[in-house]
Amino acid sequence: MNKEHLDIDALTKELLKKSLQKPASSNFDDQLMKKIMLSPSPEKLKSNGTYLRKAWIFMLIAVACLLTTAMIIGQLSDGYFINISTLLSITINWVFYGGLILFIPLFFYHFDSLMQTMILKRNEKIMVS
Amino acid sequence: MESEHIQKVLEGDANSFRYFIEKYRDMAYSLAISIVKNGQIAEEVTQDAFLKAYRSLGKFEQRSKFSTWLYKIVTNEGLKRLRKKEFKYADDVGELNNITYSEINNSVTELTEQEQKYYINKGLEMLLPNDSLILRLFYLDEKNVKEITEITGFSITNIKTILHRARKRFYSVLKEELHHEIKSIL
Repeated sequence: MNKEHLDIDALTKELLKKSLQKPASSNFDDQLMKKIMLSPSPEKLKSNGTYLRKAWIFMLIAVACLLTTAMIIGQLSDGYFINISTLLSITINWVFYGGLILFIPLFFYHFDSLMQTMILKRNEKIMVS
Repeated sequence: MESEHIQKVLEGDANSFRYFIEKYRDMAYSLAISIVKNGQIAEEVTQDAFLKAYRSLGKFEQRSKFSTWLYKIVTNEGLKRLRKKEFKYADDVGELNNITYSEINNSVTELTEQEQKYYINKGLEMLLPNDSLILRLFYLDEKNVKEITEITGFSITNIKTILHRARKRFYSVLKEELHHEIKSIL
């Protein structure tokens, strides 16, 4: 970099250092802290994600266990008790009903979070106005 | 120090978040106003960004600085508002090549501290959102090009180009503003 360029750079830095602006509202911090206090904690929000992940892992393990058990039974009985078509139909049923069973509590769980967010937004609006 | 406060917030002590608000409020607000060009909307953007940062603190992996992560949220929130509403700013700011920096320097030093601040911020207000945002990140907060890339999502080449152009535009606007000031005094 040549000298002129360095000078311009230094001047820009000197000028821009004076461009820091502050919010005009005197109660900016308090207003923000109020919103934060009303908000669900980050730990709670983080655990929402793990709850879903756990549910999926649980479902996958359950399906894998079922398939293994059915294959072992089929193997031991030389296919007398279970053949591949029944194995498939059992798996499909399991996935369908299992999904349904998981869906209902999950739906209500997230419905609750949705309601919470809506209430929170309303509270924020009331507080700001 | 910052990781301690983050840990405290994650353990449920929401009051510890005040540390981040006090430390980064002004810079976050300055970045927001760079984008939205309106004080009231910039305050809303800053509040939304802090609230979002608080809520997603559990997802912050501390691979980058907290400030970089927060400014990225501020930028995104600001751009969201920008899409919702149209703002007027100077797209073309006259001749970019006829700028004598020493002349500007001399004019600026003759002003009081408060007047300098006023004209500098007025000049930044007239620039394109990306220009003023990158100028403030680079010169005011002294972020390097890589960190600016992380915040804005622009490529390194793009940032260097914007920086070069923004600097020229800033001086051009400033020169014009100061010219008006001198004229009005005379």
